[in-house]
Amino acid sequence: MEIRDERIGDTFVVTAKGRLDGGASAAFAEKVGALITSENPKLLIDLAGVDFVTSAGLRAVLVLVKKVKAAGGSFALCSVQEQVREVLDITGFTDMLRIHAARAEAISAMRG
Amino acid sequence: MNNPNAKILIVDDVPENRDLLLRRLTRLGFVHVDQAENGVQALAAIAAQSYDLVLLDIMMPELDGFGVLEALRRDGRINELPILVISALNEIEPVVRCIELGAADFIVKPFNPTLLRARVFSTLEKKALSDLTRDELRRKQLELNEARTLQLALVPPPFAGTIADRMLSIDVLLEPAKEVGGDVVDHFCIGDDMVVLALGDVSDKGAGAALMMARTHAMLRALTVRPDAADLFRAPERALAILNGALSAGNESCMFVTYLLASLEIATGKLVYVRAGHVPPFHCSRTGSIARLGGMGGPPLGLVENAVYQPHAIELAPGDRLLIVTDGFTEAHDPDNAIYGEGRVGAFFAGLMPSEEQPLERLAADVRAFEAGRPPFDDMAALLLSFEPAGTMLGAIRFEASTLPTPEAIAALIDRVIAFLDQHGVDARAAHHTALVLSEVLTNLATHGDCCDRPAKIAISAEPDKVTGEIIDSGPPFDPRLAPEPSLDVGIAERPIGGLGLFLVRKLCSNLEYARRNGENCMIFAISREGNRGDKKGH
Repeated sequence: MEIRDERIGDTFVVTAKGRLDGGASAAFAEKVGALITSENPKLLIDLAGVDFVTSAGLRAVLVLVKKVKAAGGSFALCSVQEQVREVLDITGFTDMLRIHAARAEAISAMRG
Repeated sequence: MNNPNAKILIVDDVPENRDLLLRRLTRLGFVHVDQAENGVQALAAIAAQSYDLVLLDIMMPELDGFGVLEALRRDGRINELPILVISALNEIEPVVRCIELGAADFIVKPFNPTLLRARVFSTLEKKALSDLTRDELRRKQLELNEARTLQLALVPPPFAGTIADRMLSIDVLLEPAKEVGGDVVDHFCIGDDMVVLALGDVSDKGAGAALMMARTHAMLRALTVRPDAADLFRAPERALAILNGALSAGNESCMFVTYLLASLEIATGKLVYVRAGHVPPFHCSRTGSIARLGGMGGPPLGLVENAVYQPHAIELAPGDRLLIVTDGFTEAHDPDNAIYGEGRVGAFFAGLMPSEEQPLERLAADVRAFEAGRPPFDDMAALLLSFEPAGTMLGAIRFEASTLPTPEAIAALIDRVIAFLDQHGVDARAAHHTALVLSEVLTNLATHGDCCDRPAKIAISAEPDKVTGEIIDSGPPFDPRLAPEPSLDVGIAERPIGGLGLFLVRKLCSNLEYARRNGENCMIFAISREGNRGDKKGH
């Protein structure tokens, strides 16, 4: 899995590509977790390039969400692929998180 | 064999020695004699022309006899070029060294004309014979390879389709032990509701057996164009009697053919078979139980001219399969002379998934692995008939996974499954869900499977309306249906990290079954394909 991170305004935008499975989830949680250092962090994960998320991937996302919330920040996903969206729906992640359809919309929402 | 056109090279630094040899050789009738003054010139000459014989002095400036021999040994030329080394009377050690380096023989100075003549002629004769043998072998090999291509072309292609409104598939295999062999395999339709299966094994193997095989094949096919063909094959004992009569006539070498001829009436499933000394076929019922078609039909073909054959009949039910093999499978030996045996063939057959890809090739590969490098015991031929395979599966693949699969191994397995499903036109959603289910189950196994003593077995098959999978592991008892449901409606802070994997499995599958059998967990799941999702709604 490829992970690219950038800062747009005060939001950390992480763009992932590939499968978020058992082999990738630990590195994902670690790399993205390292970005959450400030107070009230804003974290957006762009999943346009992710076609497969396993329960290990979901756990990594949950760990990151908890960390962000504990630091008083906000968290969102965007550009989720159809099959991944179904998995998020089934596991109740959709109800728990903010999911935006597109990247641009997500970035402006987080800035606001 | 004394060829005056033989090309000879004399290598000696002393001109008088070269002259003497030239004169002697000329007197013996040789017309192509070249000369070289030292080892360097000799190697140059040898590179430029192909000589039939080299007379090589040992002590020379620039490069001596040993040097020449070593150079020729390095590039392999020494094997095709006879070298007679020339030595002085009391020089045994150098001669021995030359022979060890690959020289064919030696001749002593001063030359005795009789001995020179004898050595030269015998060396040339030996070379001529070896060249002839090599060319002959090459030619024979080419011929045999051509014959093999022709023989394999006699085998009809596998069949999968509908006859008389019933699904049927026939897999075929022919693997001669040498280039050509004596096993014969055939299948064809008569009319629009009868399928005929034929398998035979000519005594011995090789070219003679192959000729008999071709005769037998052609004779059977000749019966199919007779106006009474339908009647003849409906009572296959009659067809076999005619075949036997033709093969028995004038059979002085007493070659015989063990044979199995069967006709299947598709509408009723009635299979009439005649077994002429052949290995009894294996019948696998839909429930997986194996029986043998042991009814004796009569003697092998070709021995008893007017033999009368006895038919036997069974009825095939939908889901039944039939496997007919020659003894190249059952009698194959391993290096300790143990045989593969009918038991192993039966077990393999029982373990086959319906519509599995290339089943006979897999069985043959298993036999070859068993033989572990020994030359094939005998030709192998086989037929596998699937009658109305359950669920009309389109294809299946299987693998074994280490009981502690690494994330990389799981990812690689997922790649293969997705490629397989894509190949069979399965929609992206069903493929995704299959991959996710497999990933979750195998990851779970890796966490809890550390006391498994056997690899996990996984099989995936594509059916028109769904993908089905089967996972068998020897870990501790574990029913995936019973894992507790995670609480989904609590807030983020309270949400527990674990429990999602098997929950996903249960939710994504349209069907999930589990049984604990023989100390193994057996899980079967199904995922509906696009257009067939009516049954599971509202996640």
